[in-house]
Amino acid sequence: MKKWIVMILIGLLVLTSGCAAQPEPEEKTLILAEQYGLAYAPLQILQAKNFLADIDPDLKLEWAKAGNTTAIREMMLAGKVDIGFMGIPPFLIARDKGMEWDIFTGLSQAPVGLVSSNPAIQGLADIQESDRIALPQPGSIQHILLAIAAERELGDAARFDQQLVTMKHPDGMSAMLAGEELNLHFTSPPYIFMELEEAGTHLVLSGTEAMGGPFTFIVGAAPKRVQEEKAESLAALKEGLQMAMDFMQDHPDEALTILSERYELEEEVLQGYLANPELVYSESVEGLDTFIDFMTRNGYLDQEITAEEVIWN
Amino acid sequence: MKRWRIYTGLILAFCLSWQLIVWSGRYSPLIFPSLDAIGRSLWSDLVHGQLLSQLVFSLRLVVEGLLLSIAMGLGIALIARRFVVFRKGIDLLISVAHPLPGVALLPLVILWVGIGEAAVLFIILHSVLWPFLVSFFGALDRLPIIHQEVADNYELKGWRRLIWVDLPGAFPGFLSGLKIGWSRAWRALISAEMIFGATSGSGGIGWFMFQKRVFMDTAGLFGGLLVIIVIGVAMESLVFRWLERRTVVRWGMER
Repeated sequence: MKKWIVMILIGLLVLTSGCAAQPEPEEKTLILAEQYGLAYAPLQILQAKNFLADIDPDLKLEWAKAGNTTAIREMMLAGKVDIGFMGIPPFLIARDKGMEWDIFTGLSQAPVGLVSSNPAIQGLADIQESDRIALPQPGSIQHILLAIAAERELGDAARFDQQLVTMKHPDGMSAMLAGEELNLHFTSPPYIFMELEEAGTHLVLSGTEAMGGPFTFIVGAAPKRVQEEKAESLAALKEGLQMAMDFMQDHPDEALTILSERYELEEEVLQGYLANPELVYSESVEGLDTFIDFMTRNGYLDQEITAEEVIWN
Repeated sequence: MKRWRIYTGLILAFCLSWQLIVWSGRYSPLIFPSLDAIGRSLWSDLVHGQLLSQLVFSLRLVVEGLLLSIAMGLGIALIARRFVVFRKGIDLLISVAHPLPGVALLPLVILWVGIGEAAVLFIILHSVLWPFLVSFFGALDRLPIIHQEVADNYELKGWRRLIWVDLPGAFPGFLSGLKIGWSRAWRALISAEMIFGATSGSGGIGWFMFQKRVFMDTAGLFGGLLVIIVIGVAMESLVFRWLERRTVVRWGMER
């Protein structure tokens, strides 16, 4: 018996030994998940122009690499990331599952949409069961938008759920363009622009059509821990992001130079992308109610969630 | 009997320490779900969800891959006995392809055979075939000379010789090749699905894990892990052990 007790104790020691050693990050740092792409442009401007130094010289931003939304959520749970940017649906899914975090800012609206290389597919009703649809992952904003449109047009939100293929945007693009079975790709800028420039592709459904109005594509979220322990820094970050957005408005040429360097895109190409009227950088959060309604009605969310309670202020 | 008592004790101790950590309230249930949350989630996935059909789908793919590999392995052994050059070629191919993880091949496979069942089957085949051949050929090379001479005297050739002399003689290698092949196929299947998403319809157990992850259902994630472990252990210690008892142990080649 004694042996057993010793073994259990050793087991406990091994399992809990990591706990005490976690160093508390300093009060004046914020760790952001680093993400690239047109929809995140204010982040790149903020970084390049170092706006935060004007607001709070002591505040330091650190950038952590994370592959996708899921990884950001996991790193945040592990306390390795303070701030993450993502679509509204993945935010809501985690919130519903008990992750204590709130939206502290909107970041951008963007022209997302379903692109097809099959001329026979002009609307959702034309999609056959053998067709495959590439998108980043189930539960992503792309998936939810598709489901919203499927519910409205075909009466079944889950209609295409068995036809989804999880692919990163670049993979999805090449697969769709090569397109046999997989001839549909629900994607976002800049891939949607590149795809629509190719011969033989067309837009089947735009995000705005799917949603029935404008919506915020990317929001910034911060966990309770950060809201409580780093409230000032969070407010400073919010202010800095606003400055970055204003800067993009007021100094489009300089912003273009910075971004074309960051994205390794030619300035003319990028200028064309940025001129898209649907690409809007704004702190406001649009469409939250619609997402919550739809996702609750279709079983993606189990808890009662209201738009007000998930917005930090 | 004694062994089972030890195992049960160890598992109970593990569960107890797990639950103690949960009760300590140190971690969010999103990181460390309680045992009953895991149990309930697993139960509802099995009864109401698609877990069972996904499991059947995965197992069917692995079995298909294993059978295909056996057929190819026997065919290759048959030709290799006839043509030395072929055997050398296969040896070279093995040394090139064996260390290549199936998942590393996935992007290429998608280009060649597209997405879907065929792609996963291809990955499984790749994971099974090479270790199986290494082990089987190794055993064939060590075949006792006396067996070969007897076969020569009876003028046994071609597939008869393969079935009646080579295969039984090399059966320990054949079986252990299968065992390695199985475990590699099981891993390859799950990683392929977890990385590249659903292959067709509701997918398999790897897709189950992937969905649990993106929908942040940690309890369900652990439930899936449990199922994967149980199947792995059951295959090793029930199916393969049974096969061994029926063959190599009974024939006195191994214990």
